[in-house]
Amino acid sequence: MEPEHQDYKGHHIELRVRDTGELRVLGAGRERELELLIDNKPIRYGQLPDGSYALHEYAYDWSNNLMDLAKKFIDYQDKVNMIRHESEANEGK
Amino acid sequence: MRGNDIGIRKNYRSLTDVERDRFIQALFHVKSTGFIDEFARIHAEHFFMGIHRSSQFLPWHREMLLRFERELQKFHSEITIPYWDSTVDRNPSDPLWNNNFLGQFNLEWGLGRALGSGPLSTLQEVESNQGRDNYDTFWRELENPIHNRPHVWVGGVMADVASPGDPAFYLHHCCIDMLWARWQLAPATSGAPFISSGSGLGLHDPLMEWPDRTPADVLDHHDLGYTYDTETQFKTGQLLSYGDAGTPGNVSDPVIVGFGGWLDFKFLFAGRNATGENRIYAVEQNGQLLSYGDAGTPGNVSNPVVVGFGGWLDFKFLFAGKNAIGENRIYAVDQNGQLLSYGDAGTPGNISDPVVVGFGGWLDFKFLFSGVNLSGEDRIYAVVA
Repeated sequence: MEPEHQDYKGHHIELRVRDTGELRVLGAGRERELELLIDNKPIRYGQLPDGSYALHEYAYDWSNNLMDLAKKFIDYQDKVNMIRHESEANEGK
Repeated sequence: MRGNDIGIRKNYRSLTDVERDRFIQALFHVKSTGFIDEFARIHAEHFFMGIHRSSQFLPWHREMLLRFERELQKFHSEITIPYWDSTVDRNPSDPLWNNNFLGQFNLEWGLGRALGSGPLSTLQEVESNQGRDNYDTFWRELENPIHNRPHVWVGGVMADVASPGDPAFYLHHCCIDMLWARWQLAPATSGAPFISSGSGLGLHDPLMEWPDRTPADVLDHHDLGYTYDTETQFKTGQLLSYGDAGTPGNVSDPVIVGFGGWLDFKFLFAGRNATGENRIYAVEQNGQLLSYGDAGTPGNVSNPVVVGFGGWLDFKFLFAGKNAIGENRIYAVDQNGQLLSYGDAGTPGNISDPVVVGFGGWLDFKFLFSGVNLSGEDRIYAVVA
């Protein structure tokens, strides 16, 4: 995947190359690694045996496209926030 | 007479109150010892290393559940992991999430659940998956989407790589394991070979974290010491319970209420004790009269109460009934041909002294049993030999 950035539902998603200091730590000869950030916050991710991506906090929705996965994570978080607000509102009744 | 040699994993809805509370207490215990947090760490550490999206997905999680179950059994030996069938229990208001069950952990353990955060698979999707004819296509679909969706639906920790931090993980994976076991036992696929999805992920390759174990070690869940309440292959000595709808051919599927050992009895009959409780009476090989209660769910016949301490092997006939004044009684024909009648107080050893209701000749019958005639009168029926 290539570095890119997109805005999605009021959030900024950025895929950028890890800084060289991190790459040195990770080891020479390693494929260029991208860092995923949503609203400037790093999002941890990994690759499954077939190469598809999953996020640590959103680990059970897999995609070959990290940008698409970031969008799904934003959708998921929106849904979670909505459910929690509804739940709190119901508890307050 | 329970199946104490093999654990029965059952739907959480089939747990008795005692079993449910015991399971909850054990969960608190393994949390307090750090075992749950350690399992969450192990799962997170290996998440991207072949425990998911590989042919080891099902064997690895079977081994994990087995280890978790054994840890729970250190707290109480009769605990088995119950399962959550998310094709049936699909609503946040289901009893699974009640505060006397899994609901209580959400705030207490900071699980951040948001029930309903995604879709769940349907029964139709699961049944379609059961029809896959080889392991490779089966596990892939069972994992994604069938397994993945409930993780997202619960949300919070359950949606994270450290999902074993939420007890819902174990009930969900127990259901996934049950579906694998069901597929393995189905006639069309029972001999289907394990197909490796890649290097290091084969039948005899070590499992992550537990390198002394391989998928081959966990293929037969019966060998691992457990079965599922969905398995209906009958075994010698089981006690089955059928419902009769009263219409031709409409007797129900049986419920296996006792898992074994029922062939050892000399007498076995249903009746009521003096307090009106429905009981199953049995005379065991030492001549004791036992009394069981049947909860009506798989494996949930109670432990027996020894209501009579000995001598019950000597009778020719033994059956329950009511006398003409409506008292629940146990009738017996002794070796002198007398018809005796006992009352069962329902407590150990407290069967009454007998009343001799018939003075002789009762040995001559071939059949002897009680019933009620069309007028509602309690009667004893006999067939002259």
